Amino acid sequence: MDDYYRFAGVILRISHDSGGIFSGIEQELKYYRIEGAIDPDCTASFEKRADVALPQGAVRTDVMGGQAVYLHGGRVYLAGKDNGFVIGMDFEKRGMAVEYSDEGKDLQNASRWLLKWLIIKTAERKGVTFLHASAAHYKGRNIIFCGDSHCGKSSSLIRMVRQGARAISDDSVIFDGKHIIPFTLNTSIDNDLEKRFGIASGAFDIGGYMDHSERYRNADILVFLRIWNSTSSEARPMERNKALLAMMKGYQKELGFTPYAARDRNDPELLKQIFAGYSALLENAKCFEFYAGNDEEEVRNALISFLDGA
Amino acid sequence: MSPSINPKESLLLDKEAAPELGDVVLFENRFGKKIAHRLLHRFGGYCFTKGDNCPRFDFPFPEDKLLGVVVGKTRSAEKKLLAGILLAVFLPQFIIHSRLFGLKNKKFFLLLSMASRHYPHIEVKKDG
Repeated sequence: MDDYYRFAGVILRISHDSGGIFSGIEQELKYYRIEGAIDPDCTASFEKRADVALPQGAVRTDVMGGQAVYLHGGRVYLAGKDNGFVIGMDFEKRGMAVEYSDEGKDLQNASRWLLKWLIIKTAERKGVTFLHASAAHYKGRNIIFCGDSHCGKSSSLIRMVRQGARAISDDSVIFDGKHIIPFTLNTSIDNDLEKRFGIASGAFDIGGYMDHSERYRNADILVFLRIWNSTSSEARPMERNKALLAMMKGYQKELGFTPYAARDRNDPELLKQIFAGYSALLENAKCFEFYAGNDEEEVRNALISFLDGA
Repeated sequence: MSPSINPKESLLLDKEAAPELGDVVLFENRFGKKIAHRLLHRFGGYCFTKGDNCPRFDFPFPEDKLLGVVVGKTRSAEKKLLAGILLAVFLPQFIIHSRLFGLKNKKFFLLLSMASRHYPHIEVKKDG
């Protein structure tokens, strides 16, 4: 069966069997589902079959997220360690095909991650900018949390939500040149909720704290999160040109983990577009670095009091 | 900027031209080193550049550190020296052979002028 979804102006058609691996992914996509068949901008398919195999002659070129990457006939293939699944990416047709025999966590993670990048890359062709960050609407201001992976973007978002903020996006800020568009896919929020925040895993849906039809103007505050080994936390002002450089580095770094890296890393037109998008996003933003210490309660209090005063 | 510009190649520079995005520009970085990289963006009085084959962006620099737009390449001092040595060695033989085989003087002077072309140039070292 075919389902249709709309993300930041991108129409995605997903063809899938009933049940199977897609039922887990579907939970995350529920906020974006639309009715009716519309000419899609990109497509994905999920098919369970017994004879999953890489194409004959596919050449291994890389390893990403523990999966081997192969190249064959202009397509990129991501193969599971035990050959339990193969995900083929067709860049030209903007499609991905997931074929699997075993439903494992690796397959679920790889599918969600590649689906996210399929949407991002299709959206980029429409002039939309992606930023590896989380965002919240707090006391009338739009706050973006940037930084490397595992530096506390999603944690800061949860801290803000628990303080009464609305979530705008988790892990991927999507900006159309004028507005930030609510977006969440491939969130890592579930991973250590119980340990860090006392919330039962699976009981927290960040999408439920988002206003999906809302459009937010540019960022008011941009916070670059850093982790440091200290009992206290500290916020420091950051020059906007350094913030822009850090954002660009973050984009290149994230792109480097995807099969699109070889094609897009040095594409001057794309880099110009991303630079322009980030500059527009930064236009009226105050930029800060926030050094988060070891104690969760202290970090939360320091972050809230810094944002209240910023 | 390899392969379009290799380390120690000499470049022709237009100091008056207004750099546009996508131009290869010469600038002085924060360590005082001169670098020729592609101009990708300008923001808040700063320029953002990157070498075509560099994985990383350069640190943003103020616009007053922009020295000019690279408009071409010229021969380096080493190449000119080599051309001079070759000319000194082979010129007498060339004259003798031109007499023997009847090469016209016009062609001779044409070749001589091509070999001695001179441009003002600036040395650029590759960074990163």
